[in-house]
Amino acid sequence: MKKILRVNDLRISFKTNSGNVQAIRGVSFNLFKGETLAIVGESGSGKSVTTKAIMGMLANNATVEQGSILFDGNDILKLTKRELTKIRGSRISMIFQDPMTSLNPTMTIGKQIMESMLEHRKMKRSDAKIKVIELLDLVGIESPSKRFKSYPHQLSGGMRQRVVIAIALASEPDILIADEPTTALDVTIQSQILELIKELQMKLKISIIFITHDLGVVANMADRVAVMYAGKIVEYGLSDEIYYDSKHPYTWGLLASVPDMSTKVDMLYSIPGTTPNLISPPVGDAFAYRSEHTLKIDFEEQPPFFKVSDTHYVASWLLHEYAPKIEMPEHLQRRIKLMLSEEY
Amino acid sequence: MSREVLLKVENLKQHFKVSKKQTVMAVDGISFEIFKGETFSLVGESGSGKSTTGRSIIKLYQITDGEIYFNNKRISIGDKQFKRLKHIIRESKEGYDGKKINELRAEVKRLKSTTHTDRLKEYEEKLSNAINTKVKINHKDIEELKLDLRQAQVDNMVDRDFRQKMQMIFQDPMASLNPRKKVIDIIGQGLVVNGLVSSEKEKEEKVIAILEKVGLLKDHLHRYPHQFSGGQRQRIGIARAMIMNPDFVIADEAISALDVSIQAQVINLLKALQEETGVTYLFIAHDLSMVKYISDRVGVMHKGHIVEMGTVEDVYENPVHPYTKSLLSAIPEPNPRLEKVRKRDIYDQKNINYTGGKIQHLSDTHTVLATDYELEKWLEK
Repeated sequence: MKKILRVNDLRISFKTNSGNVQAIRGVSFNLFKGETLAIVGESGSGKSVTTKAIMGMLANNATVEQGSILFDGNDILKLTKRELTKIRGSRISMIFQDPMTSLNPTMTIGKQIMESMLEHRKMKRSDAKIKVIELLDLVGIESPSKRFKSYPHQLSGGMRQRVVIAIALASEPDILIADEPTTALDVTIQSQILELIKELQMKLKISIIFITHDLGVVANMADRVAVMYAGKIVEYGLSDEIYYDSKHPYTWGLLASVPDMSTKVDMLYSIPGTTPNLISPPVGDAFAYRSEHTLKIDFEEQPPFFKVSDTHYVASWLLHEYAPKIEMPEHLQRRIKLMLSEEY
Repeated sequence: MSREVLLKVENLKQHFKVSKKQTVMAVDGISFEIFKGETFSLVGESGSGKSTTGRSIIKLYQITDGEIYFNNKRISIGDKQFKRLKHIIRESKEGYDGKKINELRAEVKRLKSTTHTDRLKEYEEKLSNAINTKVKINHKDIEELKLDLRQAQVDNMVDRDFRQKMQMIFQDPMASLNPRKKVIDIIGQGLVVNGLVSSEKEKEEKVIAILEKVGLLKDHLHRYPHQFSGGQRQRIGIARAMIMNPDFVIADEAISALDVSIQAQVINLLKALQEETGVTYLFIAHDLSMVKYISDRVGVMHKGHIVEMGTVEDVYENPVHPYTKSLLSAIPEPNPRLEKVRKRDIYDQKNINYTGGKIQHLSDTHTVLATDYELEKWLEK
């Protein structure tokens, strides 16, 4: 498969009053053409900062200390503002969490979509209008020619998010970054939006980076999953490898904290503690303080990636050949066994 | 579980007047009971009226119609009922002569034993009868009605007992905590306002005790809300509610703004507190998977009505209403192979009118809002 984006050993820090926050501490991944890559992690894990770097929209107090983001043979981090504007919003688009704050309340939705189209492509206004109505239809908005003149506040949350998606797609991008696009929505609307994104991907063959904290949400969408913790990717692999055969205790924790619908348990599993302070990140494995299976080396040295399969890599000392054999928690094993035994 | 009723909501309506022409009927006639020590959940999409219900119960709004009882005492009575009472009194004063008066009085006595809502309706009927047949309403009856009105006004006031015994936890811990106050003052405010502590030292002791209960540290006493993570902030919100030693806590989307991994921590904490203190929860949420885990009974709301209500088993294992089914089918599960082939139930929201339906009992615990025809159709499937 063709690589469309390559992030290489990215390190980003933020200057704050209390010190330098090392938000991203060496992140590398590839995005292939037409795939959906899910980046999963808790708040503060650095998943949003990574995508903001890709979009070239880092805050003023951010410093890129190291690394590169290669898109189309160019390093996004080294582009001038003008070159960046050519890519941003036209070849790489983004949808945000809250559709109310990402739309302009004083402008009709038709105009907002048209704006992004006229900005990035040369076309007549009348042609653009036809195109906008087509787009509204594509994202599942009923009677699009009437809706063209609606304002954001006249639409429901789900409809607004559809408009945001339409804006993102107006310039026919190669990459779509979706940053928790359904977190602010109800479950029923959430499933509709997820289905829509998936459908559009099939039609338009775009690559998607999907950011979320809920592994349940992306089970349907993701081809590959990368799990982030404290500014690093700790495990990545094909969707099946992460959901059914994960190796990192943090991934186990994330999987186990999604409540199980089929069995009744007395206590929900939760990962103890909170994410470490990244002003002075731990020397060794950042997850060691919250893990049940901590080794001595976890406090001394950061784990490298251990290979599980050609597509599945895990950064944990537990996979070292000298490490004690630690199995996935029993209740999770049982659950996965149950999932795999059912026929669909 | 004891089956003693803690909270009883009867025909609650909450309408908001938006303009002269338009009134939003956020909650449109719902009734339910919550038993002591249990967790009752209201689920539904945004705009279904679930949050409004919670806010009406804790008296953030004056309710439009209906009555709410808490610990067997009436705490809220609807505006419409007031109007009706006043209307009856006014009409009655005009007076009519006749001999049916004794009959009417006997009737009034009998009605005393039934609930207020029903009683009012019958009062009205008697009154119109009296007017039609030119019966004069006895002076005593008018006095009695006046007493009723006064009692309703008294019941409707917020008293200290109510303020202490019913507490609320909000969705966004950043917005619900005063950013300029320290943790000790935020949590201790209820104690001070209600005069439950006599000195700063006593307040500090009590706040420390509750901090430890919710998994925070003594060191956190003099910090500000922004110095905490989302999960910790929600713990502060919980501590603020629990320090009053309440009988009843309303948790309005208390975990929706948190990460999944942190949600589990907060839910476990709420459950542990319930086991320890026997507090009753009303849990308001749109996330059905967490609700299943924490609740004893669930009510599914849509467009201001409770369309289905029952135990967790009733609602999750044997859902009858198509709206419940559509909600359940939308829960995402961490199982790619299932998700890729799963079909979602879509609920056609056009032309729905719940006012025609009535509450149908499927079992002792399980009810659904439907017309006879609809019920038959749904059960066939």
